Amino acid sequence: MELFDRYLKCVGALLPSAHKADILEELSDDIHSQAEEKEAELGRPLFIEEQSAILKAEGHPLQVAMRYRNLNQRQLISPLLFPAYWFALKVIFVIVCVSQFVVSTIVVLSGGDAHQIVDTFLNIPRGFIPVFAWVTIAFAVFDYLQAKMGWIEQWSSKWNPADLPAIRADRPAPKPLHKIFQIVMSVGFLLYLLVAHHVPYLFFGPAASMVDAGPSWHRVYWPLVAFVTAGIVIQSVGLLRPVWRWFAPASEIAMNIVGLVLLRLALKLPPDWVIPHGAVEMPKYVAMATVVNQSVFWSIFGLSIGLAIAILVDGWKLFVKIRMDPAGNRPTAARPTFKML
Amino acid sequence: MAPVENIDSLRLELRRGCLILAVLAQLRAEHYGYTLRKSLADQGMAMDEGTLYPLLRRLETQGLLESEWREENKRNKRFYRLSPRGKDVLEQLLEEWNNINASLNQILQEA
Repeated sequence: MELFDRYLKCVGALLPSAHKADILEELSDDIHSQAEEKEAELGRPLFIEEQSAILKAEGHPLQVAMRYRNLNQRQLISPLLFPAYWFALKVIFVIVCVSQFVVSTIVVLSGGDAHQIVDTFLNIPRGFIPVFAWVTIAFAVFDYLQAKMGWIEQWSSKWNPADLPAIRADRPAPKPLHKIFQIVMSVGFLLYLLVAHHVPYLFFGPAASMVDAGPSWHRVYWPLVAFVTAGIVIQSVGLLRPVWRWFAPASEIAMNIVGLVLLRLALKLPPDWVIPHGAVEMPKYVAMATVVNQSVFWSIFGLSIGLAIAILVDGWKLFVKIRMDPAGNRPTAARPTFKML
Repeated sequence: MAPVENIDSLRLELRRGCLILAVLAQLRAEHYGYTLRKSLADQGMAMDEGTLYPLLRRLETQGLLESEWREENKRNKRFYRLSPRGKDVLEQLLEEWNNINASLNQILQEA
């Protein structure tokens, strides 16, 4: 029943991703059970108006989805508004971070101290807390008023299931071709690393006549080659064993952790990733090497933060996946409905 | 005289606590969501889907229910039943319920 699929898709878009498939499967069963019972009673398939009536009784997708959020909490912002509130906070946080970064970059480029970037980011919480407080107050007031006046109930009581958006075609599942492309790219990068080690021009381009790879680079070179090689092996295993659904997230976390350890070691090395070419230490070459070394340091620093965040996010996703399916008793092949969700 | 909407909200409030008791008691035998809702409705404790399913999840999170996905009639269904902890809690709640009921009856008789 296409109308039910459209309804479930709308509900699914508003559900917490960790429990989405689970909740939708159960909701779908309930709706289809009601429809089947009605059909058995009438002795014919349901008309679209009768399907709509079932969905109207079920509730507006927004209301249905919101009931599943924050089940254990009583809070200032009700479950009905909480997703919008949370979304607003995330958007504001990103805007604050990006604007701080842009301002710091301008300061540094115009001759300021590079350490100002770190100071600026450490000051983000101080700037964000008042904004957070004002947004919370605004949402709390709106929530209080809407509960008092019943605005959302009035609005949702007028909804018509026939107005639900149509379902778009399935997003194509990742194909082995995509994985093969990843492996080819990784092998290409490995070859580049191996060749460029002996041909500095491939690293530095025209600047190869001014700078050479320094001692720190030589110290991380072979660990880096080993890391890229391990990545290729893991990607190949993922290609050959697609049924190991846990393998991709688990190996990704493991690789990220190893990468983080490598970056941490790299940060401790002296800032001599490049050195002036040959024995001639002309001032302009020295200045160029200093700029490059600073850039490499901050790139490694930024990459470390990114990897740490990726590890936390991937770790949480893996934890949720394992918790939801500890014994593998969750249905793995859901009804066709959920392939679209 | 109290407006009608107040009576509705009072009735809702009165039922809210009883619903948990009814669900726990009904899940002494295994049910999936739809049959649970039907059996509750057949016994005069009608509950809409939007209330029942989140409640089931909450009770499961609290360790009072256990659930298992199984296929029945060519459809995957989540079967719920009372957990050992849920059985203990149900016993305590029933005792509380009986006490409240007895007290209330006494108060009403006196009135």
